[in-house]
Amino acid sequence: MTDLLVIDHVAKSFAQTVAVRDVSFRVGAGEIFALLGPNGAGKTTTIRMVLNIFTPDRGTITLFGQPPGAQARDRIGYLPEERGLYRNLNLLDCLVYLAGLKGLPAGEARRRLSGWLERFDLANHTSKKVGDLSRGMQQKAQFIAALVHEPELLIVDEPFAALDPVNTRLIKDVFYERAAQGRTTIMSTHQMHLVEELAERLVMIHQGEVVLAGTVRAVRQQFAANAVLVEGQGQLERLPGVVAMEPQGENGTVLLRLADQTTPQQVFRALATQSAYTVEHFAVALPTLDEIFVRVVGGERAVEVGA
Amino acid sequence: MQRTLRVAGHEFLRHIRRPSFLFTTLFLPLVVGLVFLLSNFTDQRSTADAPAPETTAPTSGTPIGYVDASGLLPPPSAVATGRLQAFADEASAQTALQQSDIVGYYRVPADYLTGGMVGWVGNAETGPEGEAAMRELLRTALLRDNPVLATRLTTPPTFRTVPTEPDGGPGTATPDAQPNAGPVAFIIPYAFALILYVTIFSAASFLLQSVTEEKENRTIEIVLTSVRPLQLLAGKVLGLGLLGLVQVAIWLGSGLLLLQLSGVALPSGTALAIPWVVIALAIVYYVLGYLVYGSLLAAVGATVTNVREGSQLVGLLIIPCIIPLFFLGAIIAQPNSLLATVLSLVPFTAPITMMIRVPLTPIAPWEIAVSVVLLAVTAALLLWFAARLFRAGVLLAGQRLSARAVLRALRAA
Repeated sequence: MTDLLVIDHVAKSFAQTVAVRDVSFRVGAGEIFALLGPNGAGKTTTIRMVLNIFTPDRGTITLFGQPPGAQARDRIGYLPEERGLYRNLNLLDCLVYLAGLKGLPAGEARRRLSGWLERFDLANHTSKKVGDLSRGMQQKAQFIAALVHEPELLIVDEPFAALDPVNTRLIKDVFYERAAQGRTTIMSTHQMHLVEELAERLVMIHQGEVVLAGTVRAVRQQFAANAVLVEGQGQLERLPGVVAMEPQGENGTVLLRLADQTTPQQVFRALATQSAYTVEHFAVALPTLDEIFVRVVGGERAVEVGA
Repeated sequence: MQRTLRVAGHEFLRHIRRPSFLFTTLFLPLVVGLVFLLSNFTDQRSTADAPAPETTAPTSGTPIGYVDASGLLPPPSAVATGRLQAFADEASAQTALQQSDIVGYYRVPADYLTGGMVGWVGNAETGPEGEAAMRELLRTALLRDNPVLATRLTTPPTFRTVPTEPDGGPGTATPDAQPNAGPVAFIIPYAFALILYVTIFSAASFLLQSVTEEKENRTIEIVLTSVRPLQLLAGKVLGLGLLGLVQVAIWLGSGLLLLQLSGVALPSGTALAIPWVVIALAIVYYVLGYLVYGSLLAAVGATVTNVREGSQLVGLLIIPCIIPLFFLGAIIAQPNSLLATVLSLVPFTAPITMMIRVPLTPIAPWEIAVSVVLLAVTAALLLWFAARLFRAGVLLAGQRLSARAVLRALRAA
């Protein structure tokens, strides 16, 4: 996998505040990459450095094999967190203009836009003023504006905010399609379940520094406590090596916390060999990204787990 | 360049469709038209009561005598002298004066041709009467051999019926207008200054609106990740300048239309009297003048946070544009003085100063060249300056643009 974007120890300060202290990560071509972090962590500043809006104080950024600059503009699509469209223009004119700024001739822009507007269920609203559209519609419109020129790199900040499940699905499909075409997407979002579902790799920034990086699976394993999730009958808390049992939700699943020297495999064997237990579901308990996020922001760092 | 034009077209179309634009563009001529028609009505009434202009020979009242010792004047029967009455010698004139047959008489001495002095004998309190008629008589006499020239000289210029402004009534010509300076000397600079000023003002308000709007609605972040600030600003200055031009054209057109509708005959000679060089230079200076001020205002737009804050600054920054009008008299009196030359070279005053001078006097080509180059360079520098301030990095850094921040932005690579 070739690196489309390499960020190497960049730092950026404004007046007295340090926005980015030390951030490094790489994004490969064709990836769906998640950029996570609490509010004010430095995500937007990092994105703006990639877009050449800000120049880093220290460190280097390599985009398409070059420092970020004017030549990369037409190859990037950007959906900023603070949405903005020309409220007084009608939807189609607005999108044709924005596409024009990315170098698409008006005719070609109209042709491509008609497909996208149809797909995002906006085709009946093209002559309405942007300001009269609902927030979700405006967001979809802006999403279209970010990708109509088929950029090699799409950077989206909170792409799913204000969207219903149907539209969320539409955008996810676009991300998958782009990945299949070898086009890269970097998304910054707080919706962790979507990161788990979509992203291959992630980096999490907290207080201007990278606190987590890697594939989504590896990160979850790093944060796995020694515990298993079990759904079944029997006196599960009596199993050897189980130190605590916590009911999980309504469907009878329980979380069994294990003693340090006990492995999930030992528990599994014990369950399987004793007829007093019937097991419908057994899984190693992996924390959700949501939990990991809260724990990391709370000060916890990844633990090195053996095996 | 292509994207600059794209921005220009977009800005032009976006603003021309606004109801507020249509309203101001069409509403103003209506109001002005109404005011004009009213003032025209009262004007016509007052001119009807006013005494006949002095330049036409008085034909009524007590006659005025003259005694010709120079032999230049034709025999009395040869000219229609009107109120003027020739006397063979001073004694007979004295007698007529004493008998109150005449209010007084002119004494044309033998050395009039070299001395140029004409004496007045008569009522000292009211002073000489019928001076214009006497002047005309002398002129005609001097040009006896060239009647065409005499007619041209004695027929008063038509400038009195030329309005100085589109909304002005007839008879508003500057009272101290010298016939030899001609109407063109005053109308061109005033009209030019007015058009330039209005274009700058209307385009400036659009420019401020457009720039601050993009900042407020956050479109700026997307726009500036697509085009260079210089492309964006150049596009805005061009597109909105065109818009200002359209507005001015509509206003001017409707002004002229109103004039014709209200029955005021436009002196056809005026338009023809403007040499094409003046028109060509007017266009050049108009475009460059707008570019200088437009770029300056773009820079203002980049630094202010809202339209209101910007409007105050605009009012201040446009003042240099009208400075030459304060010196209008001095420049007309001495079109090639140091003052005039300096004002023609300073980019902020050059357009209007040049428009005052060009119809009056031939100006050295180098002077025009230098002033045009200076204007163009200033416009480019100001636009570059505005673009530095307008970079997204500066706009999004989240701090107000203090003088220090502006300097830092200019120094930054």
